[in-house]
Amino acid sequence: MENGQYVDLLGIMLKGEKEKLLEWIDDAIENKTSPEKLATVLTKHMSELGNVWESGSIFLPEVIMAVSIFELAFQKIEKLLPPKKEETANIGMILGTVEGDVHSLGKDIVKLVLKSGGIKVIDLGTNVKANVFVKTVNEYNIPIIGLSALMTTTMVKQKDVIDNFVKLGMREKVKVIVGGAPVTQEWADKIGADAYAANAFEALRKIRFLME
Amino acid sequence: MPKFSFTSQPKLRILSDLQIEEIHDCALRVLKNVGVRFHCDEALKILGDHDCDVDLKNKIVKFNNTKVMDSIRSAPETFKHYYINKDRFLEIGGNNIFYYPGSTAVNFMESDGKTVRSPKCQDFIHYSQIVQRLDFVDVQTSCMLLTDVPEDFIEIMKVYIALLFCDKPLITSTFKKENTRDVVNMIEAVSGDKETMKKKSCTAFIYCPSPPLTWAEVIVENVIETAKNGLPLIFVSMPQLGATAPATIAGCLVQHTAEILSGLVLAQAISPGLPVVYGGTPLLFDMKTATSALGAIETYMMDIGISQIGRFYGLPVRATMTETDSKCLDTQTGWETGMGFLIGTLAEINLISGSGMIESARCQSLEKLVMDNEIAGMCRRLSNGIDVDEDRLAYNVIAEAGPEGSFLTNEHTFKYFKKEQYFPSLLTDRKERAEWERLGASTTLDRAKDRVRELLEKSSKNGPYLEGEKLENLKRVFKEICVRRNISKLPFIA
Repeated sequence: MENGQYVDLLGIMLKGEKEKLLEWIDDAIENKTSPEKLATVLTKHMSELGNVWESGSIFLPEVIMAVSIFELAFQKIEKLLPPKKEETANIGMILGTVEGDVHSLGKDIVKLVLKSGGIKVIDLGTNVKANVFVKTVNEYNIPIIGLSALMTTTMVKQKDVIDNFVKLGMREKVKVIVGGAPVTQEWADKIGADAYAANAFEALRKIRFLME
Repeated sequence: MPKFSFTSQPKLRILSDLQIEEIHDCALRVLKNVGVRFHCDEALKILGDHDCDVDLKNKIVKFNNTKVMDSIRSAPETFKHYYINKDRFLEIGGNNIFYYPGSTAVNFMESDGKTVRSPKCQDFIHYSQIVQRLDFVDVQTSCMLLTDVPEDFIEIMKVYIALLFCDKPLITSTFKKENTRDVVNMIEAVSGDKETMKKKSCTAFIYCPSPPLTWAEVIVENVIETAKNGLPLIFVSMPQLGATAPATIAGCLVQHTAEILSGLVLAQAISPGLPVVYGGTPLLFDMKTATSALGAIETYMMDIGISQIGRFYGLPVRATMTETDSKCLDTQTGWETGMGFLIGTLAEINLISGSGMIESARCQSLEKLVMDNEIAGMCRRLSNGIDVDEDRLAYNVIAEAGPEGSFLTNEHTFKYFKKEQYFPSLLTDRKERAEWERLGASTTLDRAKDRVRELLEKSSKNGPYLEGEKLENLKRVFKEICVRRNISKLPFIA
């Protein structure tokens, strides 16, 4: 970076070359690169992940590997940055699989991709009751929630969660994005969700839009 | 593959050991008592000199059992089929399965997947460039009847283009002795010298008898010429159920066996130890339409039989299996081709022919060629089977994830997913609907067209594949052939 030589950081992360990336960071620090600049460069490389994924040239386990290495590297850099005021300052959204549904795969992929985009997530896990979403929104004051459902029998619970916010007079406080195998844009419109995403990278794009 | 043994039978069997023996015994009886007609004096002389009973007047040759069995023993179980430019080879035989395009197409399909026209040199160059770039088209063939060069020159021109634009081992055929000689000259030019050409042959020649029990002069002359040059032979008989062979599948297999073995005896008489592939395209003859059907289930059943009988003889086997009788790139093309690939793979046929072909072997389509590459990829994955060992059983991984756990984030997944999965190209659609619609709701044909375009764009930058001394040698020999034959105007000269 200092001598102007381009290093394919994303490529290194996709290959799972953890040591190589950490070494690169050590070298950069030794060469007096500021941690802010390092964080910016690393995030910039990572932001290409969505495009690379959509080009069809990489695979999901590689995305996951890249994200996990990115997190590790970022933690290392964060230690050098001035401390944040609040622990929850950067949290972008709440994610959970709705009540009755114990499938976590799709939700976990979304979470990882959001991480790659620098969005921190509170993951409520699976089989999450409608009132738990309400409670978490109130507790952390987070305005976006993501509802996952894998089965036609449980997708109706996405509607219950939204209805519950309406009932409590809180609908204006939150934006709701829905997803999952049986879920469609039509369904999202029908239940009054604010957005629908067909896959994790679309979720990242739409959540960014909701955050604006 | 040991000779006269059942130890190398394929995963998919349709004949029992006893049934194979019965077909074999009956074929020997046909060869001994009925005989085979050779419309070629030289062949009759060679066979007469090699312990066969020759009736010169009727041009019939009868073969004694010992001669036939000895000839089978003399032919190798496998052979090395070399690349044109690189010093690497495919081992033809054993459990190896290779996929390759079909034989001579009289039509070339436009990219709309429906309209056909006469094939031209440029089409064949495109075909060669695409074959070069597809992972699951292992061998190339001179598969088009070019219409923009003089008729006598087609066989030469096809091989010239094939040698120039594609590095993969070549299968071709010739119907004129002079053409065989000139084709051999070109092969020698890229091989360096005669010895290397024989030892590291990059070209095998495919020849078909004319069922029932006949070898035409134009064919057998070239069999002799090829065998004299020590180049591998692939014999492919095309008997049709109830038309040019008995209506029974067993009877058809008997006749097919006799036809192939008669050629094998001739080849071994000329050049003992010459590689000979036990090939076939036995066909259903459709009694309703009076046409032969390459995509019929009975055709595939006979192909499994061929694999079993050829393996019983310890010979490499070949069958036409991935073609279709459909006239356009439709669902029938998909089901017939897919079934053929799958059956051929399970029947462990060493050389599976037909990629890119439709219209009962009359038409080559570049779009089908790239589609077939997808199926071939799946079939190769299938034939690689399932590996089971301690690490792959993944006990620790299962224990770590536990109930409701995830495997996506496990390093074990990162380590194995590429080894365990075959990844099709973007031609195979596995997207969910919204994404598929967002990207234009394409059909298979749309994506195949894109893939063909993309492969050709990559290729056009590169020009001929052959380079260096081999390229210069080939150009020189080709020029000599053109001068000798008074050919001055060609649509393409590299």
